[in-house]
Amino acid sequence: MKKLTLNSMMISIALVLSFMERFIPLGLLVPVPGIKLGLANIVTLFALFYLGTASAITITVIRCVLASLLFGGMSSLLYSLSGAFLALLAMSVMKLGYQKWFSIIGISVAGAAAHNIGQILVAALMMKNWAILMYLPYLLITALVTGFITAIASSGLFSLADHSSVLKLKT
Amino acid sequence: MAAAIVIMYHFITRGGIINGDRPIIHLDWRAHALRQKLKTGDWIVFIFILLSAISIFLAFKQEDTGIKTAVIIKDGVVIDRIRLDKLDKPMLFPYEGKYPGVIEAEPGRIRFKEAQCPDKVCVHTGWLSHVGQIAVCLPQKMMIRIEGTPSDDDIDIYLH
Repeated sequence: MKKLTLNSMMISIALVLSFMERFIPLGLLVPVPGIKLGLANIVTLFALFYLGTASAITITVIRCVLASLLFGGMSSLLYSLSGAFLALLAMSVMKLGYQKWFSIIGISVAGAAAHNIGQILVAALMMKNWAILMYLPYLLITALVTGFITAIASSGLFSLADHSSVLKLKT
Repeated sequence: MAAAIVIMYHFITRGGIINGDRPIIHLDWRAHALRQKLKTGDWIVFIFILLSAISIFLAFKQEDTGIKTAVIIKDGVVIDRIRLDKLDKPMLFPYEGKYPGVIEAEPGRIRFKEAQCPDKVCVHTGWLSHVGQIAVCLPQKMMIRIEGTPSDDDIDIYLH
């Protein structure tokens, strides 16, 4: 029951974050399709470390479906799902080396980069043209910055969670 | 909303919500966030991302050859080729579809002038004037790319 409540809370927080980041016009700064801060990645990271991989997958899938139903349109579902899955894969593999080889910053940056790679691969398939991969360098550099920002936010969140007795870090 | 801003302000400036001298919530998350030690693997991730970004950038980089052909691609099929270096007056190319719009070509450059798509990334991309540049409208599955090769229509000119 506690798990269900926590998961639903995480989904709603992730939804609010992905709604909010639509008002941050990062696309004006870097005019590349699909560019965004990836604030919902904070929730994915938190879920991965404090609720377990199964919860993280559930939260991410439901968040993607709801976000595209509410504000994206169905075609955006494919982009976000493929990106989110690749990001989850990268981050859950890297989690095995948490604090030994990787800090939260490296994990978050790799997740952001994986998200962008997944997204642009689907975009190339949809457009039936590989020329769009030329945007990948811009997306990767942006992922370095946005991954760093979300990592700082998440580690703040982690310290809050560590101070409370509700959740324990799962490694 | 105002309360949220006040709480965020307190968290950012003081590291917690403090009422006078009495901390209500005081967790110095800033200390924690900034104390993150970068590990070896982090540096490997950063360097790997940087190197792949640079190599992909170089792989797609093309030299200007003097010839500029704008290729308009819809759904993977080339629907129009425009010789931008031979253009002498501005031209408009309206297109239909789920999200209609207008492509504008001028001597030496081309852009998505307006579009009905939700994100308008194609319009924000602005003018394309160098070989290798692209502008993309994902919702409409439409793309403009500038190529450094002559268009099919001009081939007979070169044969004479």
